[in-house]
Amino acid sequence: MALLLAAMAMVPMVSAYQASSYGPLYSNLDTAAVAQNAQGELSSMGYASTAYTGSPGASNALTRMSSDNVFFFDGHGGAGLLEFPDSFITGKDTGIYPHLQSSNGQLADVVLAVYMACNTAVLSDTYGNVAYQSLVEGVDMSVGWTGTINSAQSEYWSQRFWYWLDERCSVKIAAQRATSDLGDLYGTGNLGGMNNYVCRSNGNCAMTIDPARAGD
Amino acid sequence: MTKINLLKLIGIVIGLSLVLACSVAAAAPDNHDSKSLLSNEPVVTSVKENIQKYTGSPADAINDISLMKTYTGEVYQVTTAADNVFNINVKTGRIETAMIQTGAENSVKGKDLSGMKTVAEAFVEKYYTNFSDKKMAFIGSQIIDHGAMGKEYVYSWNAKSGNAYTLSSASVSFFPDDNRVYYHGTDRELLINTTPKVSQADAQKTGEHAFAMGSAAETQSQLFVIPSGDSQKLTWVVDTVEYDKLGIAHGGSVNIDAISGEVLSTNPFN
Repeated sequence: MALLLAAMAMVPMVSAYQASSYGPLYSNLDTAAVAQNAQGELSSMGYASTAYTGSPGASNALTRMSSDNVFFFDGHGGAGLLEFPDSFITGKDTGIYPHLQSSNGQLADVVLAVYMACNTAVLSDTYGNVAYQSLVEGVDMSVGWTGTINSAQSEYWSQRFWYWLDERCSVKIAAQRATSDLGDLYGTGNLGGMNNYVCRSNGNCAMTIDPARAGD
Repeated sequence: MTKINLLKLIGIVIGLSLVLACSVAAAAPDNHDSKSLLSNEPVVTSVKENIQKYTGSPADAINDISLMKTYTGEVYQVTTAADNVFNINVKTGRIETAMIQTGAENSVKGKDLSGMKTVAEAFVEKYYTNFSDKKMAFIGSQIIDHGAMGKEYVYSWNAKSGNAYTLSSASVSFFPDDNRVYYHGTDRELLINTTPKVSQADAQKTGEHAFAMGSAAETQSQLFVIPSGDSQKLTWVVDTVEYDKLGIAHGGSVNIDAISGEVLSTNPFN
């Protein structure tokens, strides 16, 4: 029995649940530290958690996303698109870039997707709406922003958001508290647009993601 | 012609009060010390007394206490068994942030933005001592739609000196779907003269230059008092934005010393 326990202690636990956090490097912004912080919190919650920094590819990220249970992106974006160093992921199929749109609920295992970039909850006639398209593809809760967001405030908001999720708050309460904590550090009049978060879900975003889980 | 985002504009107009300190502008360090202070009896006693003093009710069971830096000092962040959170100023004992569930008497369901202002004012007057003495000006209110997370009703007050927004401010956010309210209030003495030596036009040019903005840039600015060590600094906060052909925003915020004209920090958009 003692030998068995000793052997178990030496074997790393491998979670059945996967989380991917993206923190690309741009010419004017490096979001690696943000992704790494989220990766640590998600690992603490029990996910097999990986941070992809530097130059992660858009196509690989999209392919991997169908196996993710939590997806997090911090970087540049716009209405209907996420900017990766090599390309974009768009909400709608434009025939040009990797896209979320499919006809088979390809993201049904994702319980939470957070697109921390400018205007990711805004509809573009050309590129669609990243947050809304995720809901259509089966993501339980997808979070985006209406408006521009600043990098310094988004970094701290992210730290606090994943912290509160790791404290077993619901996604809704974690977002509220992260925004409040941001106001403590930067001032309630200087939230850098982070208070304009939007959750797309068929529920009310009151689910927790700790302990690790998959989408319904 | 590029249009500046409306919510950004509203945020600047009503936000006003509290501004990014130079020391936290470049990056966002983890300002939360996760070490629990629950075994520190003097801290626990002090925290309980202050919650009772400012809320008028005994503190419910405390789950945890930790130390957290804010932009104007340090607070004890207190989480309770009733799922409330209080941030208590380490020096003054004042509650500077309360994230609490409201009782039925404060229910905001069914009320509109103006109808809820009375409830918001009652919260601020209860928590913010010297509120009337400070001559706090009502800055504005707005509704933010968080989609499936419900709506948020926001009310803001700020003390001004000349054209500058000082560090004394208060805000209340209601989440009617959850019967939750978030209060923030800081009361700080004004330590500096608030007449700028750098004009608003010059500050905006400097801000645009910092991000190499093009001719389509939309730029606006406000004058703030921000913390600077043990003192304060008069600062122009310049926001500038333009969009590329894909619709991606370029630019961000620039803090500029309103006396020397020095760029204190830049903060690009995601």
